[in-house]
Amino acid sequence: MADTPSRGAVEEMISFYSRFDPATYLSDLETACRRQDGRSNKQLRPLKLLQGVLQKSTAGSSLAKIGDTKVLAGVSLQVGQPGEDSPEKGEIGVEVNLLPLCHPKFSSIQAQQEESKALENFVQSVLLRCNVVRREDLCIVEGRHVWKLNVDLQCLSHDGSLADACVLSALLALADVTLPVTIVDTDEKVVVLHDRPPRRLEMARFPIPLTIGFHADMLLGDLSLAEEERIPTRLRIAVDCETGQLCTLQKLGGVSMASEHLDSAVALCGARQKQFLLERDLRQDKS
Amino acid sequence: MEVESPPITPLPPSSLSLSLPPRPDRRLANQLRPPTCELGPLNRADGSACFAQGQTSVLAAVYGPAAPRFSRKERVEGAAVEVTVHPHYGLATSSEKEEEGAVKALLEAAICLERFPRTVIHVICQVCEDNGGLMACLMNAASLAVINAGIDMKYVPLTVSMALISPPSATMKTRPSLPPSSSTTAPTSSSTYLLLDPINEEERQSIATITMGISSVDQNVLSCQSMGIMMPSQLFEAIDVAKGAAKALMAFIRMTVEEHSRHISKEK
Repeated sequence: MADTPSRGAVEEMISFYSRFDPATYLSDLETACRRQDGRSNKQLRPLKLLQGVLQKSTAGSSLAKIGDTKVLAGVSLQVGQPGEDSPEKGEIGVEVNLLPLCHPKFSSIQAQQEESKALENFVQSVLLRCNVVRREDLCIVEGRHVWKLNVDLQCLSHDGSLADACVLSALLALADVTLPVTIVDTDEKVVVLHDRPPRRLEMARFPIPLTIGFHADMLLGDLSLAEEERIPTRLRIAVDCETGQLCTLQKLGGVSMASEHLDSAVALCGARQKQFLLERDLRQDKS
Repeated sequence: MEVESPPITPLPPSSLSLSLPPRPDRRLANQLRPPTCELGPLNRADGSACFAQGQTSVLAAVYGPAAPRFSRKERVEGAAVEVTVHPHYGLATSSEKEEEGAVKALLEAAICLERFPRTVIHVICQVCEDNGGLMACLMNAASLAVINAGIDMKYVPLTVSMALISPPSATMKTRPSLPPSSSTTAPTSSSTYLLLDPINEEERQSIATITMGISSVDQNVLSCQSMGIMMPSQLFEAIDVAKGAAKALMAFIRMTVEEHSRHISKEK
């Protein structure tokens, strides 16, 4: 086996080739049915989820890893006033940080803002529109005081499917949140009772996201960064982990897709759902 | 020169649209608000269009293809598209950034970029009014402005918005004291229905909103943004509704552009 090149060397060669001649790289992808990192078309990268990684400084935290994409999430609690049109509902805010730490392309503030703002909006709409938590649970006194959850997402390493990692880590951080018991004193101020056991925030729904590429009638599950740069047709789908209902489907540019391809793309999300449930069971066994 | 659309004939009623509560503006469930469009309202831009559906209207201007102001933006293999969205009041927020990204991705797919290497096509959209279905209106205005600029496109993207509504009994406010199962009732196909081109009020009541871009050439899905809980089958139902609406929209755009070119040739 002396003359077979090492796996690292092969990957490097392919990565050079894909940059040098992207058109041939894509057409080879069609014929070989093998991807740069050796996965088959529908194979996803390993998923690793950790909860409670920042217990001192946050109310809930998590770290989500999809292959080499890593996102750290922390939730901080704040007491605020509810909005006028929803006096009994708490609020959830999302902030995404993309620093040069995770990828050199985020070296300018402009480049950071462009991607982080769009991601922020996406994660926030998933959390709010899909009723991930019942916002009534965040009420302290109707019309006066509610909990405001600030979800901060820090991307540590960007290797594609960043939105998936952001949604997953935000969800796990929310699932990790404990709300302290409070009373309202005579001055209408909220006082936290530290001696009572805090209550865990209940999750109503868990939308499991997956980024899918579409190229030459082929679906590629869980794109890496190199693939994201070369495949213009990308789908971002999230399905509920229990019922399999569709939570969001985002397809932005690229070629047009017929319904049957969209159908099989939605079906592909089942693989990530299984991965997630397995990971969750493993964690529960440990604790 | 502004073109008013002829009354768009409602699509054949599907089984869904029967026996539904009336909409605030008395439209049918699968009826678009009549679109209006003015091509070339701005004379200093290379192309411009004002597109409106009811009380939602967007003014879009195209500058380019022109040499890039920053060489960083330049691409050897084709034109670069830049999109700026100005909200109808206040400063641009993260939702405008998301809209910019969506319009940019749609135009990049539709414009023949490889014909204009090393140039930049800048599209600026000003939201004039917003009463629901803004994303669809932005996309339609932007692509009409690109048509008006005479930039080659592979197809015309036709975008419509939809909302999935569940009847009042299911969306009723649940008190915190009720058991959690009551607020997370699963929407089933039988209890929910789809509204085409919703206004703000309907969007607020909806459990999911969908913006769907259909290609004028092969009638397939170009862009889709759905947010909210639905069954996968309801998405495919929405695709069929969008295809029907796209046909009506295409007829309107064709008529607008023909009328505009007739008007220009008369002036000469």
